[in-house]
Amino acid sequence: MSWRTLETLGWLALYLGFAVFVLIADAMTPLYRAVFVERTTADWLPDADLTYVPGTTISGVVPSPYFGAGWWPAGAEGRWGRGGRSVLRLRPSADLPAGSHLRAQLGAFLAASSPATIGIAVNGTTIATLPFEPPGRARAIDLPLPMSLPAGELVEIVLTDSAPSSPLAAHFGADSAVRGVRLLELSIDPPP
Amino acid sequence: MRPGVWGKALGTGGLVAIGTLLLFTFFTVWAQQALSPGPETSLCLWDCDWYFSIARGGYQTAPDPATLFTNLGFFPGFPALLALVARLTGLPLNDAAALVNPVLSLAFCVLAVRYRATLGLASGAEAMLFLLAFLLSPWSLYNRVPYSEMLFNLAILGTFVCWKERRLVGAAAFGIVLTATRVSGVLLPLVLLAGLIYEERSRFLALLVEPDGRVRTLALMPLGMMAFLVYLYVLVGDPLAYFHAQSLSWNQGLRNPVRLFADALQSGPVAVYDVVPFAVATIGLAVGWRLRRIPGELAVFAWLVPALSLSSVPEGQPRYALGLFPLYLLVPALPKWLAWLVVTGLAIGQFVFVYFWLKRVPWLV
Repeated sequence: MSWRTLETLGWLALYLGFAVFVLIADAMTPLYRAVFVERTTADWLPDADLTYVPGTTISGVVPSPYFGAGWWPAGAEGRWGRGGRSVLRLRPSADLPAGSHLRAQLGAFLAASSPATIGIAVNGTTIATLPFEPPGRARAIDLPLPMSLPAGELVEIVLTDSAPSSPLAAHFGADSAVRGVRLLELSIDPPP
Repeated sequence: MRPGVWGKALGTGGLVAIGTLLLFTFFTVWAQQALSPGPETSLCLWDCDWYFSIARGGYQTAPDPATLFTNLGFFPGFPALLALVARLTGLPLNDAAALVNPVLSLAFCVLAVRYRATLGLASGAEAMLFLLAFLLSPWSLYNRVPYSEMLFNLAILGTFVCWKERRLVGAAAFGIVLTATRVSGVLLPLVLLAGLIYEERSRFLALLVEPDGRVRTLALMPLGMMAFLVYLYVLVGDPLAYFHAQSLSWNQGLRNPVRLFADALQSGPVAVYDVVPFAVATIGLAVGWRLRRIPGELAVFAWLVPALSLSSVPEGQPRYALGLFPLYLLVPALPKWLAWLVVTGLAIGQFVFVYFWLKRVPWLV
């Protein structure tokens, strides 16, 4: 085998090795992985935890640790869902008994003539299915919770949009970002 | 090296480079006057801020907490050059940036005139027409402002002419710069490899067993991009950080280009304007290749770069400054009066782009 043949083999080894390196090399911090790779956390808040004081308003306008998978960054018009499934996670700092209220200002991104249904589930139990007609303007909702939420336990609130779309797919703009639900604010209030 | 040939190239190329730069400066001053009084007008907008942030402080390990935007989504070639020029000259970054692209465009002009035959240009006059059309086109705005487009275009030209002229060290060096400047740069070594396989189709395996300098040259070109990915791994533990940042923050990713194109055509004038130049460029590149006015490898690469970008999102005008300069090789093929008419029309278009750029209209992003 000549030196020139070895050179070709060397290049092949370099490129194969590099491909393997790119695919398996992983020294990411947990926050980096959650935000950039797995996208299970929406915001870059290094020191935040999920502790939630009942009655506190979670704003869609500013970064917040409670937004998990399926959200675009916060904006002046609230926070848009990224696709059809958007998750909030929180740990109540005190017990929330059954009959507590989930209150929110919710809207949806809708194509010109397409209605959509927003589903709201808490810990896997659907508590509401709300129809939204175009233009999907935000409205206040107030939903009693059928279950209790013990202090310190993880609560997962999943908002689903039956018809996520983008301005591009809806044919009224060049923006291809797929949006679903729009959240302006949300709170879980203990019963009075 | 033949000084006579290079001297002539410097003369002709320098004339075009300086002339088009003066015209751009005139457009800028004119537009600034037309817009005053108004908000501050600067040529450094949008991506320019990201390049400056890298040139000033290197790559960030944390994104902006409000927007998740991060400079990890930009390749290092251009900001590294800005930082180098600023350090070597002692100039502030803004002034260094004002120096870099004119020098790069001068180098582009000189190379294009010197190797005009490799580009299929019959004479110095044809080379001048090509360069005028390219540098006065509306999209050459992005070759003037502190964006990476001019470096990318120079690196493409350098890689291509050195490859064709069998100046393999030069080809490898330009290729490394190219792949360190934009992710789509890595398509050029692939296109050149495809050309080599076709050219040597009867003995390609034998060529791999006993490779010559061409194989080594092609193998060296992607090292610019590979070095960046290794650097990202060292910095944030993720060699694919560039792609993750582009996807998360700028919604980039591979999508169905036909669907994107069809949706854009039905989504209003801005979306139509985002994609129609691609259709025009596609036709122009095909015609230019068929007429042997545009070298095959350049035509394929010039089509692939915006096609790749359009497979991600429809928005974006800078894509029409990236690698599409071979399209302007068609201009010298036109009747002389029509060629000058086209150049004049393009120059008027450039003034319009400059005016609206300074007005910060989002459709120029």
